[in-house]
Amino acid sequence: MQTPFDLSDPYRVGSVALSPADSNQSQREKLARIVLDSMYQFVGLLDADGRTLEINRAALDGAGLRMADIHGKPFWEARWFQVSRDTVELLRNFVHRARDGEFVRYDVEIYGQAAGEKTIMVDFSLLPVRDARGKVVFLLAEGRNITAKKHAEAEIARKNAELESLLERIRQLDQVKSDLFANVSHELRTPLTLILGPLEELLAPDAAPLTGAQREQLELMQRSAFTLLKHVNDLLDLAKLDARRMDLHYARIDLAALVRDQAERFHALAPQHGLRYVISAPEALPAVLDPEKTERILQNLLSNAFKFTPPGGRVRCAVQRIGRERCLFEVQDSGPGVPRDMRQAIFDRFRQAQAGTTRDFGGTGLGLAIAKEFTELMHGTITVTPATGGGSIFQVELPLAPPHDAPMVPIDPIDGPAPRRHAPSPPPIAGTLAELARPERNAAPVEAAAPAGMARILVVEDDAGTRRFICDSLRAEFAVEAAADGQAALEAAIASPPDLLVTDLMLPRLGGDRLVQALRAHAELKEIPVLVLSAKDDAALRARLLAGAVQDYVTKPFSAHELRARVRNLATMKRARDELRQELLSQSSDLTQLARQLIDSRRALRASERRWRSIYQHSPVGIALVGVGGAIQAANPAFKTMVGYSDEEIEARTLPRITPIEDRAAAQRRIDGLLTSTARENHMQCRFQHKEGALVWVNTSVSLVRSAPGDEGLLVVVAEDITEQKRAEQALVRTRAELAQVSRVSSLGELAASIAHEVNQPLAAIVANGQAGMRWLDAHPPNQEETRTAMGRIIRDANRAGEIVSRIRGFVQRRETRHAPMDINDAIRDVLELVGGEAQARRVEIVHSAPRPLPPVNADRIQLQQVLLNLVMNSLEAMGQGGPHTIVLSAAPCADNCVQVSVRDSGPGVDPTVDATLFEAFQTTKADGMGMGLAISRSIVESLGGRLWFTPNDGPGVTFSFALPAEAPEAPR
Amino acid sequence: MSAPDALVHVVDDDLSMREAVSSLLRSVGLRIETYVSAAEFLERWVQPSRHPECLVLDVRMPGLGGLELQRQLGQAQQRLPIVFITAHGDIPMTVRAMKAGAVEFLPKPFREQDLLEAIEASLARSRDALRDHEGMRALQARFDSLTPREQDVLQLLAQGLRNKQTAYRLGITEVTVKVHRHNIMEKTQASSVAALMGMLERLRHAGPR
Repeated sequence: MQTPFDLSDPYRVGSVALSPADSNQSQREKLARIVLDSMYQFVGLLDADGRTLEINRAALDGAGLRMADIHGKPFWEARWFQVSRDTVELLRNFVHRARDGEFVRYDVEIYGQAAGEKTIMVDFSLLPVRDARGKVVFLLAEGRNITAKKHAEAEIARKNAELESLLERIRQLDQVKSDLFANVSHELRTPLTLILGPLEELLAPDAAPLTGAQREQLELMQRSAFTLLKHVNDLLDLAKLDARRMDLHYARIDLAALVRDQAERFHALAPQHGLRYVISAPEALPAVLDPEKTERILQNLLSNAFKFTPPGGRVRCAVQRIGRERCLFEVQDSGPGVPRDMRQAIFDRFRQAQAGTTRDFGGTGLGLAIAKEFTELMHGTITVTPATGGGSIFQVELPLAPPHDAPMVPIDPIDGPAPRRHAPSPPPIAGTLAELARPERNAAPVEAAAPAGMARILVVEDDAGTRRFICDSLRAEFAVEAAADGQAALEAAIASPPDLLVTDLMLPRLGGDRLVQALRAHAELKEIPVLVLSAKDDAALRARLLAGAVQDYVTKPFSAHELRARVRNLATMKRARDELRQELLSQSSDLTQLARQLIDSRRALRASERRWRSIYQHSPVGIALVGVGGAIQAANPAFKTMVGYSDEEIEARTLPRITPIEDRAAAQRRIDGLLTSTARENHMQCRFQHKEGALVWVNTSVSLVRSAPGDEGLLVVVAEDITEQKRAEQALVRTRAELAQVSRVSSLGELAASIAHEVNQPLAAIVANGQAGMRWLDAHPPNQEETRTAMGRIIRDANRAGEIVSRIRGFVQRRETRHAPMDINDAIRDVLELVGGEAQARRVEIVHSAPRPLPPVNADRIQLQQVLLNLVMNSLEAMGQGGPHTIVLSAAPCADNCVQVSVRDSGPGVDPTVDATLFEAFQTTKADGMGMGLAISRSIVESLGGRLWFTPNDGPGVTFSFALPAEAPEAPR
Repeated sequence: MSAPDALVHVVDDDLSMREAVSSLLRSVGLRIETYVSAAEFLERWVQPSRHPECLVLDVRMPGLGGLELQRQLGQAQQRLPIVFITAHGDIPMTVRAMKAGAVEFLPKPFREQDLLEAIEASLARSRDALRDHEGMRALQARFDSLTPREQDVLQLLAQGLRNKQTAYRLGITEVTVKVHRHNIMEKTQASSVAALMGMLERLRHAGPR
């Protein structure tokens, strides 16, 4: 047979070489080999005992085996089955069974991948191959890789199991729910009844009187209880519906009357909501319907209309017959309307037109669902369509009569619907109306001005009653502001950031979580802690909020106590953090880190304070802190010792008190100057008065320190006791004065002889005149004229002697210096008088040269005389004996508005080697003498602002000069 | 003690003193002249005078001092005795003044009596000095009236030469000598040769005029 493929050339496939020369038989065998080796599946042939005869390439590669490894060996010992002992046994078992003629097929896990490293699942089969006689001679082993399929199967099985269990759970839950709702109605209704009953009694007109606040609170409680009751009723109704236990009770009614009756109950709400309300019904409209349910449908529709219509809008309620067998209710509002895609879904349970937490309108979302259920129960239809001009029209179409087999309840159309079968409980409409109530008192939250220092809380809650409740709970401890929706809250927070935000999640305009997000986006608001109040018990939402933006989460109902506690904690923490951040100038918002920073800075501060304290305590200089009124607030030990007061005593004192009386005015001026002027400090020598009365001289520095601008400030007085110094100074001044006086006396002593001469002259003349006078009187005749003249001369000479004495006395007197403007020439003349006799005795002529008038010099006359005398005496004594000498005393104005006096002699001059020391104390070239003259002269001249020097003459002798500043000449008038 | 022709010179630079002393001395009838300084006195003093004078002199004065003036006056102090008055007196000064011939050295203030007595003593001395001076002048006149030859004879006689020797020395006769001797005795009014010798001695003592 010729192959259908081309074999013109020899070629090789695997280990098989095909050649045109092959015979048909060998070609078919080679092809069979190619098939075997190319197969994906595992294939092998065993002998009847299970020894491996032939295996294909795939099987070998899968386990990483070579033919030689396994040929002729038991099949079950091969690598594939080394997965476990059990597998090996299993295979051996298979082989035996197959040998016995059974076709064995099992799924087995073997090492069949990655050269025997990985396992796979195979669909393993072992087929006995019989010979012509029917004896099993070979076993054909096959393995199909079903790993992937197995996985998929396992997955499916698992998922099925899951689904099964979920389904089971749902069934169970559903059942539980229905049971719960149904069985628990009693449990829910009873407490509410027990709330509402007593409330009604408390609020009854004939009950005990209540205060306005009490009444408000009780009415709030009543409304809340009604609302709660309504919600409970709605839920229970739904549960009943689900459990198919909702019964219809048909009765003959006047539908028009029913509609009017129900609709009119909403009348009071219209002005509260700012709406126009129109009711349109025919005179009468007999029908057979379940009155309760019909009322409920109407209530729910009207409730929605009132809820969703904004102020200024319009609600219309109408009923009419359609045809002969149907009636139509319509409730129209001018609210936002229902979007097209919601018109079906809006009747679903818990469905509200707004997703998420933004709730522009409250409600459970059950109203419409119940309306629909009830409508359909009565075989009616309910739809919503857009109204022209905006808003929606809800339309309920009902048959005027039920199907024939419906049970009926007798009803008296005048009395209204039959009484309830259950225990007396408030009608559902009470809840509906309560939910819609907008009492004016709750219209705007009162914002009393809170005292500064209280933490400010912003409360966001749309329900007026709840908002009021929260605000009232917090008002005692905090400054509370309230907002009724998220947007208003955001604006309020931006305008005036509060310390804490307490917010509901479900809010109109901007839901709670979106509000928090918006807050966090503002830099100055992102640190504000947020406490979320919510009835929504969503654990995922709660976790998300707490992890991210919100600090605490409280579910309603909560106690006021708990709320206050949590708010307090958060507000306190925030304030603490704010204070710390401000104090530490830190950016951190981590309270722990801030606390650590605070501790560190406090430690550093304490250490620093200890150092300063030590300085303060141990300073030898007195330091006192004085309030601006003069009260001594603190003083260090040195200060207290200085003024002799103890701790308690010093703090009762004021600065004026420790100042001597005569200095107080000046001290006060000084303090005032510091307080008012820009000078910040003031250094002065002044005196304090010791407790025991002694005066203490101090060098004080007073400065005004303010810890902050606008702060009143504190005076810091640093006082150094210089009493000893002052005493020494004063003693020195006294000593100098004494020395000057002694020097004067000494100078005068040197002139004693000539002074005596001076005085003796007039005295002798007086004696002679007296004697002469006597003789003139004894003459014959007595010569009165001569006598008189003699008397006159006596008086004159006596005065002259007196002048000399007083001049001398003045010169030697111990007295204080008196400065006055004077002409130096006068002093020169005085000195010439004193020294004249002496000069004569030494045959020295003293010339007084004063060619020009001298400006006055401000000096003490005696001091100037002392200087001049000293200089002239020095010159006189220097010139000694030998021939007539001349001293020239000249006085003239000199440059820079001063007066210069020169004493020029013609003596031996001054030895240049004694130059420098000449003016020093105790320096003298005289044989006897203290050597103080020039030193004192110089100190006097310098104290008058002048200077004293000498210059050798061109000729013999030296000239001593001194210059003194002159008084400024008087301004011409 | 009024001696109308006596004159007291008062030299003191101090006006009060001058006036006081002047008043005092006038009150006892003395004539006074006052001088401000020694220089003024030397300038104005007229000599010789025929009446007794004395000087009341301060020691300490500007310019020429009292003691200086005393030295300058020297011999004239006989006829112008000095009474020193001074406000400043010490022992050395006193001794010097007295040694130099002062009559008295009085400290100021002085007792009037002391001053007046001293002035009286001074004037007496001055009078004496004047008289002596007169006597001497007369004597001198007599001797001056001798001719030259008579003076020669007198001179030899004074040496103790006898007449014969004198005549031989002069180349004249002894007789002539005797005549000259007789004239000398008459002109000089000497009572004896011894008296004549005495007069000669006195003249010689007085010193040159």
